Amino acid sequence: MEEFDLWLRTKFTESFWMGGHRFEKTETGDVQIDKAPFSVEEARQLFLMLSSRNPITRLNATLIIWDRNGTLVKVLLIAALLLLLLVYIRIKMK
Amino acid sequence: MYQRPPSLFRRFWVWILLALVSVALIFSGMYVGLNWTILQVMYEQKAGLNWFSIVFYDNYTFILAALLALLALNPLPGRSDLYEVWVAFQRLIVRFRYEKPPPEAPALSLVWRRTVWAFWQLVKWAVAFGVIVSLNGLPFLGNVTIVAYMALKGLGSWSLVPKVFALPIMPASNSELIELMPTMEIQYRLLYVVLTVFLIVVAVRLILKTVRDFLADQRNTWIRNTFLVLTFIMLGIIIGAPYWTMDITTPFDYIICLALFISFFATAMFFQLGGMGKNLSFAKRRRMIIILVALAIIVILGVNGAIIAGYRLNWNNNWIDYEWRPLTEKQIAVTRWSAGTEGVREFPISQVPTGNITKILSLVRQWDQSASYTKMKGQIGVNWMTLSDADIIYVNNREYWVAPTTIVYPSQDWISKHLIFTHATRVIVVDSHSGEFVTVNEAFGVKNETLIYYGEGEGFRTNVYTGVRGSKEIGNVSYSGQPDYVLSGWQRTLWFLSQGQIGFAFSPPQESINMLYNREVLQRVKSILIYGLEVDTDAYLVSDGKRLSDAYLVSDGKRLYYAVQIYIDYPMHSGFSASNYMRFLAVVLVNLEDGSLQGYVVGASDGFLVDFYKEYYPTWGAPPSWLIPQLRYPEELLGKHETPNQLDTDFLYHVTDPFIWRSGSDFYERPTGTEVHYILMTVENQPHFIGLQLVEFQASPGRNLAGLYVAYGGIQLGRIELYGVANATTQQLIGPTAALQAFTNDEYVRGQLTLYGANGRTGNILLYSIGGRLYYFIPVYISQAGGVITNMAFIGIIDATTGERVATGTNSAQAYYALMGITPGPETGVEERLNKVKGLFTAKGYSLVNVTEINANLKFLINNVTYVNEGQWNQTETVVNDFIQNYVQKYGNTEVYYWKTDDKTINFGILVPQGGIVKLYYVSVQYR
Repeated sequence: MEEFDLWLRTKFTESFWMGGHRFEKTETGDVQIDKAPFSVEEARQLFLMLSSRNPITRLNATLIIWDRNGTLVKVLLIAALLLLLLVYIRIKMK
Repeated sequence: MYQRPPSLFRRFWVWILLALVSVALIFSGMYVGLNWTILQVMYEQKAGLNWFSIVFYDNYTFILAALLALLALNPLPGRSDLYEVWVAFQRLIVRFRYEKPPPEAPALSLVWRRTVWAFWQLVKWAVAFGVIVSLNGLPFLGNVTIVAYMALKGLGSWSLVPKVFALPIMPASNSELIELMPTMEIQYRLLYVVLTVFLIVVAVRLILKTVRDFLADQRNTWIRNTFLVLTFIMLGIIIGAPYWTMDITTPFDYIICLALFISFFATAMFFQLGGMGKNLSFAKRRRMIIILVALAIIVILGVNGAIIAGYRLNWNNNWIDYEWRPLTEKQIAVTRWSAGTEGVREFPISQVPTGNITKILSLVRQWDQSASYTKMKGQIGVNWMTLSDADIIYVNNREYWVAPTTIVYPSQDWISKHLIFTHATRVIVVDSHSGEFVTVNEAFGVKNETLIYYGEGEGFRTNVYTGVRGSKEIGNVSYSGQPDYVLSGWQRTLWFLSQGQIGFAFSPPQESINMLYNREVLQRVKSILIYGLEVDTDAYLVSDGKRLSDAYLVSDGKRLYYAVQIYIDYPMHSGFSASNYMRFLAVVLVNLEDGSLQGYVVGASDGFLVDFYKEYYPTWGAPPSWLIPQLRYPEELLGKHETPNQLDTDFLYHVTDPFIWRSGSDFYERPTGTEVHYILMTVENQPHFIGLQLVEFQASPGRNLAGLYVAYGGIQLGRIELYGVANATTQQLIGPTAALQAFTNDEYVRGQLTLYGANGRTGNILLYSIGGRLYYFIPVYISQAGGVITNMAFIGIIDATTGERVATGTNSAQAYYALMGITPGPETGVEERLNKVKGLFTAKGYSLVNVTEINANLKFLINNVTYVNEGQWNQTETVVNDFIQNYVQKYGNTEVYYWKTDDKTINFGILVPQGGIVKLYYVSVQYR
């Protein structure tokens, strides 16, 4: 957590990677994670969740980021379409 | 500066265009209306049928179309999804093009907006109504009107609908499935179609809204709509589930579909409620719920998918339980029911009916269609007629090739086509065994010259006008029957205007003009058929010429008719039915001379479509007794190479053993060179008019005979038998393909065919059972390309057991005796023949009295027959015995008179006094 606060305070680097996600500072002082806007507090929580040893907590963090940047919707849509296609092919093959 | 005013056309072009379109619409509307009136009047007068009511299902076509077209309307007043997409698209363009959007154009007032909206709904409704009426249903979903009509008439059962819906998870037995089929095709089909259309319409609207919201960047709405569309697609799949082919994995497929349907719907609702939202992302408990739900769905899908995969991996070692019992066995039962082949009786090939050898040999169809047709062409005699088609018929116990003539126009002008060449006059008849020409009178018992105003072929596709002042029909005859329609007044003007005949439209030779309309017999019958009914394109001639009754004599009702066969070909949507619903329904007789129509139902009651169609045409009764012996089973219903049908289904679905099915070792196919041949088969010494289809084993390298299908005509119409070769039999029979090879490889035949070159050809390959063995007969004909003379050079016989024994002769009898190494007995002389005929009477105890002349008030020639060689004895015997049975015995006479009309013909007759008049019934035998 200290590392995160240090990153926020200093201008040593604009972005860093954590658990496969990119944290970036914005001009407004907020933080972008994988292009999704978060407040500093939210970003801090996510940093904590991503550094957790619990894989479910890490999955939760990933879902929050995906939800915020639209990836979750895209994944949902693609999965739904794929499933529908699979079912359709299966029914037609019967 | 002076500007010239625009021209009148430029100022009013919209109005001029609108006026022209309106005139064209009114004119075409009136023309359609006139055509409908003509059809209505014509079928009312000549068939006793209400044409309009028939083709438009008692107006249900319009009622149903009006209701279904309502789905095209937008239920929200003043809203249009299409328009909103257009507006959103325009706004997007503006946003890209300008930093500051330009001021919007002034909008229409509310009243105008509402008016335009109402007009747009009306246009949509009208277009949808037009499309639905023209299709009698919806694109890709088939005819809905007939389905609704059948439901209204009480076919099927609403109470069985839940059982149909539950089929994927609660499988039915064979008999239950067959019982459910009517409901599945009527009540459930109606629900399925209406719900599917509703879902499609809603889905299309949602897609439009999705596009609109996507363009307007309203994220959650378009995601919600997308998932709603997916939900509707899944719902459509679930509703259609009862039509699936169902094996052991089907319930799991169904659960997957249900799980996806619920997931898609839940997702749509989730986004409707705002999605995850800004705060939700961090609401741990709600997030966990979402994750758990997602996991549950994944588990359901995964488990069911795994079960299906498990079944598939073990498929071959459990094939009987996984596929045969739940699917194939039921498919065979249902398909045989729908194809109408469940009544096909199977016998071993050794039981093929046989009879007296001489009789069979005298009935062999030595002349095929092509040879007869070529031979007949020389008999036409004029340049304005040609043969329409040669049809095989069976009338008065004899089989003939009959070719009615059709019109060809030597001159293509309007007067020739519509006023002069109004009819054909010849019917040419050839004996299918001897190839001899026979008069129409001898074959049918009607006058030789028949005026054919209604017939087959292109020549009868033209409407003609009869009794027109100043014109004369060809052959100096006048149509004496009732016209199909009388054109007069504005109808005449409109009709002839549409024909481009201004003179006839405005200054006709007479006020009323008689018209013969829709004269091509197949089209004439098709015009009164509804969905699911087909005509066999091979119409043939029948006659009541031998029908004998007092009423018949008074009305001189001897007539020739075209018999147009109608069969049911109704699509079945269940995956368990590999065939449409097929049944022989009816025969419609079309009078050649006046075009009157009468239908006769020949299909047996089935509690489903036969009964429905029977009720739909209430004026169609049972066939009269004179027609029954002439009926045959329709060739197209049995199936052809290009149009597989009932028999083709049975080629596979006669198999009921799972391992024979799986191995495909007893599947049949129609050999390349053969089709259904109508021949006379002797059963217990009685000739039967049958359709014969030889079959070979599917993809058999040996081209062995697998069996033969026999479809009976006449009084046994509808009886179909399969005489099959047991697959494991040690005694194989050669198939028709191999028989032809054996024949053409014979040294003598090869030599002769080489000698004839391009002028020689082999005819039909026919199989006959003689003395308990099967023999192929293949005739060889000589004719020049484009010629009108054909001779039968010889006929070959091939022993079907080995294919090694081949012999030829000038006729079937000679060929057979040559094969058997027997010398046939000497030809009976004139006196012997005469005595033989007389012996038929004396053997039954009747006294023959020779008279020089005989007088009676009424004379009835019951039949005439030619007996100049032994090949004709069986026919003669049949005719004389029929006469004895039906007249001499019936009227209790003990004396039969005989007298000669010339030195060639002898007559045998009885006198019957009835009601003060004396009637003479007699038969003629030409013996010299």
